[in-house]
Amino acid sequence: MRTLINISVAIILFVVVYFLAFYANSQSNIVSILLIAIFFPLFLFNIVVRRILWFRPYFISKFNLLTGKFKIDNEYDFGKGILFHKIIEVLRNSKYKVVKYDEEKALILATSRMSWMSWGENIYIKIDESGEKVIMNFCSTTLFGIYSWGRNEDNYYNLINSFDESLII
Amino acid sequence: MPIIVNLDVVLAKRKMKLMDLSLLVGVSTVNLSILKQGKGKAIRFSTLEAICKALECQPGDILEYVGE
Repeated sequence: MRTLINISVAIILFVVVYFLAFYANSQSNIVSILLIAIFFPLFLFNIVVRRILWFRPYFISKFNLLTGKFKIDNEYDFGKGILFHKIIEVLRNSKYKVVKYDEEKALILATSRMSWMSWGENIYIKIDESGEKVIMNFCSTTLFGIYSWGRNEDNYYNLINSFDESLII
Repeated sequence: MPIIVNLDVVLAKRKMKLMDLSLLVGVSTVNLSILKQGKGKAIRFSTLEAICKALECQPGDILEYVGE
């Protein structure tokens, strides 16, 4: 199913890029220059602010149409502090890099590694308490791109698998 | 779960803190807390051995089966 979605998105992207290139050629590069002038500074801005925890609302906002997001909530019956430190430990022992964390607000910012296919995704984790349950709000966002090609979902499943494995003490 | 972890009882008897045990055993405090609360999925023989060695006790002192 995911492969089918990826192929559909690739076809749509190809068609859009083809028409943009065609239109840009016929308009003597003005469109190309305009596109670069708009998107390149945004891309640079995202690179600069990606490591700042304060920009979490900007990256995970549903109004930010330039980042692909995957959000999910999980319930645990650990204490809030234990879960917070456990997640940091799991992230450090897996392929993610813990960039910043705020113990007071129970916020964690981690990034996945850069590769030739990706700039790496931002992973925001917030631990909330709701009655007796402790909820982990997970959000993985792309740095710049409306579609993550399944990498956001992979980040979640990798983290959950690593977390489960880490409970064998 | 019918298996109860009595790590807190043994620690209290030995007058030892979780952090001290963590240093002796080489298991993080977070993991020992999870184990103490009985929220862990499983315990490795190597961890059990290290805990028993540090606390000078038997596995049965730490783990207890209570029928439902």
